[in-house]
Amino acid sequence: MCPKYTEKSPRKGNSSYLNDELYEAIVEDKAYFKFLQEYALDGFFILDCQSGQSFYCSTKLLELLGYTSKNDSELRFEDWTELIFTEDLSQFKELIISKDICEQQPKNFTFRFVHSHKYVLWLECEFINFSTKNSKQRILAGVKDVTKFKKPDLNLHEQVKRYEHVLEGTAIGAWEWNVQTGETIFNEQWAKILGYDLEELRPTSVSTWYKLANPEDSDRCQQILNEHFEGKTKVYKTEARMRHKKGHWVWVADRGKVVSWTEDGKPEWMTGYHEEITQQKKETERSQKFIEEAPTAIAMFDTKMRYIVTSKKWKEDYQVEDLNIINKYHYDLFPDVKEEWRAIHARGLKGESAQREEEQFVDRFGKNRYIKWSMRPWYTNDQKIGGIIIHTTDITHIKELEKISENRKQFLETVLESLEVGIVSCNADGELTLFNRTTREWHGLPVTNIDPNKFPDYYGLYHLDGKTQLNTDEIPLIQVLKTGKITNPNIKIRPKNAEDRFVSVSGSQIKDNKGEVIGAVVAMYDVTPFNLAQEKLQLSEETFRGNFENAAIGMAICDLKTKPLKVNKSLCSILDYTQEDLLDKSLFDLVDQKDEKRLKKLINELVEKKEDHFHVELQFRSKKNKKIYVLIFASLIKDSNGEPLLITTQIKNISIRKLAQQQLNKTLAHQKALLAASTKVSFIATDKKGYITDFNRGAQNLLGYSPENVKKKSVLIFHETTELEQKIVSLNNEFQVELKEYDALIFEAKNRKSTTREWSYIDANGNKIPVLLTITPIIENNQLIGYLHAALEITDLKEARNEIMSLLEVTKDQNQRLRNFAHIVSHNLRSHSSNFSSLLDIFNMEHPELNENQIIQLLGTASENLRETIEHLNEVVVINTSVKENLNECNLRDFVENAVENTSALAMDGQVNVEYNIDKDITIQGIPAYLDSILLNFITNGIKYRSLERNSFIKLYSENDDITGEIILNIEDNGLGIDLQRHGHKLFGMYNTFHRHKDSRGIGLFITKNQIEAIGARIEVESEVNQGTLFKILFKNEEN
Amino acid sequence: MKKIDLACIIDDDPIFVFSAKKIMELADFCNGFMVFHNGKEALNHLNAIISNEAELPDVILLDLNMPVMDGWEFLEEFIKIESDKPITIYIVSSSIDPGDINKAKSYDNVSNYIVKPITIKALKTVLQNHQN
Repeated sequence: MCPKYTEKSPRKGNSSYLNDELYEAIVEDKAYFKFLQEYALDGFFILDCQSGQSFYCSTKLLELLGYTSKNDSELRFEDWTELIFTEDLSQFKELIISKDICEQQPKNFTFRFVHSHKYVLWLECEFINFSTKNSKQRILAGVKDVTKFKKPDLNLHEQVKRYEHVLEGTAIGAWEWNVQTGETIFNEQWAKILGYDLEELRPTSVSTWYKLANPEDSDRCQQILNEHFEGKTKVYKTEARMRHKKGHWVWVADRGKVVSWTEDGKPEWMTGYHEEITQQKKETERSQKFIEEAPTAIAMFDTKMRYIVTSKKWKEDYQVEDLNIINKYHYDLFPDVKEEWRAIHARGLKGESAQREEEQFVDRFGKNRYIKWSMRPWYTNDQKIGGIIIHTTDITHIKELEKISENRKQFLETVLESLEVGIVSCNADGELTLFNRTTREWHGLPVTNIDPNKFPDYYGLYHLDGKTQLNTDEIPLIQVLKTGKITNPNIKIRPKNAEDRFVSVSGSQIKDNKGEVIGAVVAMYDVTPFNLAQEKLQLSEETFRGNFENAAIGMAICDLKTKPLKVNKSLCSILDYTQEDLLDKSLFDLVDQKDEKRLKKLINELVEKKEDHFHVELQFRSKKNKKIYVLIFASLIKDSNGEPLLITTQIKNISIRKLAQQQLNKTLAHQKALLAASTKVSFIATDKKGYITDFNRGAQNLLGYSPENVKKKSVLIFHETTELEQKIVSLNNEFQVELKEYDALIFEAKNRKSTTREWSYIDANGNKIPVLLTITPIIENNQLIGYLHAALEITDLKEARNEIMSLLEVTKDQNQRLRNFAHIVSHNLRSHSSNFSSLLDIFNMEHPELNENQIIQLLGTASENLRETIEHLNEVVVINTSVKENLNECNLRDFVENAVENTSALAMDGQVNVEYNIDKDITIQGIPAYLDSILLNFITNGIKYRSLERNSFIKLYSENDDITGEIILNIEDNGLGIDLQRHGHKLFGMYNTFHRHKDSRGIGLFITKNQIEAIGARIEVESEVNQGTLFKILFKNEEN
Repeated sequence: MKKIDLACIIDDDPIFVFSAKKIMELADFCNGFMVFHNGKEALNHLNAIISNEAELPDVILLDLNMPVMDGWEFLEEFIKIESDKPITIYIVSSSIDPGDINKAKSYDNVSNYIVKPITIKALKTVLQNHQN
């Protein structure tokens, strides 16, 4: 061992004099020698308490502390205090200056010294004081190394202390439990978790735990505990709920371990700790809830494929709703899980994710099902795989739908196959996707996938002439695909192995949901027989004659002078002539005289080849000279040289239509006359631009213009510019449009809505006339052709309204005055009245001898009456001002109940039976204070005015008036009643009493009525003297 | 019961003032009182008292309806005056308008609202409150 001589190391010094002194002392007294022998097993040291600095250390001790032994006796420490462990230094210093050591008795202490290698040595020091002739206050200490004894003990002690600190710091509640005796020790923190001070729980035993534990958790915990006792688990580990002092449950994680066993192998002491995990637990519960409530099937597994949590949907989908599957092994529940899936799960547990859009499996009930699934691992906080999450969607029903489509497809294919129509379809690339039986027969070919360019050749597709083969672009199917149209619907198929056919083709593109063309289809109809027949068809004379003769329309073939050469039967019947008659006449003979010129002109134009046809409506005359309206369609037939040859005419009887039209015209005229005749209402019709087209008598009367004066003028001449400008501004504000005057006027009508509002018209003399003007669009054949301005003079109305307005002003004014009156009552009258009563009081006090004076007494009564009257007046005034804003919804039954309760003492006193029957759902609009007052008043009145001759009752019951929607509260009694004939008109007046009753004030009903009316209700009364009274309070329905 | 040193009545109604004085005497309410006929007059005098450091009233009985300066206006001005002495203000009015009563509550230094006529009982209550 070689100490380093650093700054802090002890240095050589001159302390060997201490050793010499010791020697002297030993010489003088053998006791010191004995002392050294006895105590200085590992050396000794001497301290010079006089100098305080000198310290001598024996060689042996120096070696023990790891310093060199050379020149040992020379060693003097500059600061010997460094040899002593810092924590013990103060104690050491205290000791050496204390008187203890000054005595001649050895004293034993243990101090920690620091080895030169900086570790601690426990040295037991035996101190003794010595002195010689020349020296005083020397301390000799014999030293024994006790480190090896001290170390373990103290270490353990310290460790325990440290652990306790740690426990305190980590908020972990420790417990120790003697399984055999039930003795249980908890630390302060254990109690604190549950909101207690440990003191409060003392004495603690295992029953403390039982008392606080949640019974729902105890079975589970016991099971886990047993497993631990049986040695199945190394550590007891559970999570459980404990009752907090405040009553709620606290989740704790409980960890523990048996630390000692009895001789016969039973667990004895077990220690463990609680840690509060309420927060984590709540979070876990939340995530669990989240998964449970998920609308899709989700399951979370641990690494052993045990269920941690599932959504309800999962349980539903796999029909395990009734089972508690949490913590169960998936493969135990579903032993049939495919090997393939087991492998996938295993891969998932290694960190792989997987998913499949569609998969078939047989469920545990043997049903074929399809699911879409995804699987991914989940990770714990320390990034280890905690298990997997599987997410499935049952798509069985989708698959079933697909199956239905499949069936449908087959069905349609069958239909297509059996049709006698050739059907061919292709995809977007022109590849054939369908080629039905008919087509195959026609072509005599199987379907081959060939380039569309080769279709014409392969399938024998030709133009109608049968010679020219179709170009690729002319193939109907390809055309439809590319353009959506077919330009040559008729083609000829000339197959190599079958008959030639003419076919007519129609087709269309096939589009997907997005409207993209994904193919085309054509249908081919065999028109071969038809075409062949047409080829054979010839126009025979007979056919023509038959057609001509039997045509429904009148026909005539005439020469250029309109003399018929041939006429048909229809023409004969239209004109009522025989064929022979007609052949003798010309059309000019048949036409009505007034149309003759017109017809001649048209025929001339025809003959002169100015026109080759005309049609015209004319009047003809029948044989019986009846007017026949006809539509004539005539055309010129030219000979081979182009010269006029014949005129063919078709003549249709349109008399019925013509008559109808005439009728219509008549009606229109009638209406027009009506319009004209209406002298009170002004009708002005305009075109779209506002130029006047019609101006009726009413308008003339109102405005003083004649129709001639205003025709084609703008309606704006009747309008005031300022009013129009106002409308322009308001439209601009509302719709942000900039309009000219006329457009503003017809703004709404232009959008085909008629509008009515007040305007001012300006008449011919410049007078302003207030009118109510309705502007209506005139629509013909769904086209807007103009507007109708219908105006009604409202001068009278206007005046009436002004009058109402001025009345309203007056009423407002009066209302204000009423408020002022209220104020006068409330303040001014009261101050006078109160002055009266004050003065009287003072007077009475100052002149007690005059108290008996009758005038003074009467003055007192008058003053009191005045005060009371003012109070009542005030109540009334308060009722009538500002009530509306204080209305609330009130439950009628609650109020009645309350009022009956409040008067029950009074009722009992008067032996009156008060009953009520009110629907509990009835609510009315009212002011609670008023309702209370109203009900109290009626009930107390009923009690007050009961009849003493019979058993009295008051009944309150509600009704609904279905017609007015009012809610009626009936208050019926069998009391004294009121003679309504005599008193009815003043029943609810102020200061009217009808009974000589001591409490009659005559104010109650008056205020009650005011209150009833203030809340918008009304009151009715029925009464018979000495039989009873029925008051009906009619509340407005709350919804109205 | 200890009397109030100085009470102040602000009211324009001579009958009220008369009867109030009488009742104060009968109730043994105060040692002395001052009377002003409107808010303005009261304000001027009270300001003068403060600047001359003379004695301020302990209690003010304030009417609301007065000419020149009414009770409310007086209150508005009075709360601006700084004074070391706490002065209790009672509004004494014949108005039973809930609006007035609520408005009075909005002032911190208004102690209570007394509806006229003023009675011995009311004054005794004032006196009692004052002691507390």
